[in-house]
Amino acid sequence: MAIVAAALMAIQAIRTPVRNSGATGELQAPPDVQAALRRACYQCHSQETNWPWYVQFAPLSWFVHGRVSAARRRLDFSAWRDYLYDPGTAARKLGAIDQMMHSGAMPPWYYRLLSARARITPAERAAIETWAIEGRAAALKAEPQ
Amino acid sequence: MPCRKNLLSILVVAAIAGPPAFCRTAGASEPTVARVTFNGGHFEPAKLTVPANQPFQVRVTNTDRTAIEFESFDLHRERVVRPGETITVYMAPAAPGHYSFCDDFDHSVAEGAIEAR
Ligand code: HEC
Repeated sequence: MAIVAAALMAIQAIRTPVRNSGATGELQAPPDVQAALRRACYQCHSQETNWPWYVQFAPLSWFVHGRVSAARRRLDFSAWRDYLYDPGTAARKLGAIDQMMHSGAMPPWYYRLLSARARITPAERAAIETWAIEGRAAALKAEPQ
Repeated sequence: MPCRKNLLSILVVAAIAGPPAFCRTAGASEPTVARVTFNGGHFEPAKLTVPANQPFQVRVTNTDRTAIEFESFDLHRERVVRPGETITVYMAPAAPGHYSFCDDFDHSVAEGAIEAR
């Protein structure tokens, strides 16, 4: 028991806090979509994360840090304005969001278990999907090729 | 950048109205176009140089037999390029530095780099 406690204390020295760059991305979406994305997705897919204190401790902090890094690489709502600069990229991100909403793979199951924030209603899911489908079509039209 | 704003507004109003006309006016000076070809399982050239702090474009041609995903995590770009296709990737002004890109469909492909200076 003492060994476990000591080990847990020792690993706290390895700090891997989730840091935010300060970017906001200026996501443009209808208010219901915006609110649902902020609540259920931004903890991983943005630079506006705000994790509770108890996940700042290793080894949970390592796990969270790893998930957030992977999530941001794939989709970072704080980079939204930058995505829109290249309509083809915006279309791809919106297509992926549509897919994830459709399959129900996002938010991840472990996060749905852990946090009430991640539970999205069928209406919210449908609104996000509609926004993504229509946004993708608009982005593809905007692609001057 | 009137056009970018326009796309922002398209994405907002798309749900309400039909798609408005989109414009992409050329600036006073034409942006730099860097070209890269994917063939034989690698990017050629592997390093592109572009001017820093100016918008630029990367024209990616895939002469290979399988689709690639031109992806730059650093520059937030993700585009599929089918065999025989050439696409244009629009890049926002980048600070001086080194930005990598890869084929996100096949991570054994050597990464390429864009140097803005
Ligand atoms: C607990 C963290 C977490 C939350 C919350 C979360 N995601 Fe993700 N998401 C991830 C991770 C991690 C990945 C990357 C998985 C990988 O790399 O294989 C990902 C990947 C994605 C992708 C990219 C899929 C691809 O193939 O490119 C999309 C789109 C996505 N998530 C959408 C969402 C949406 C929409 C929400 C909110 C409704 C959401 N996610 C909430 C962690 C999260």
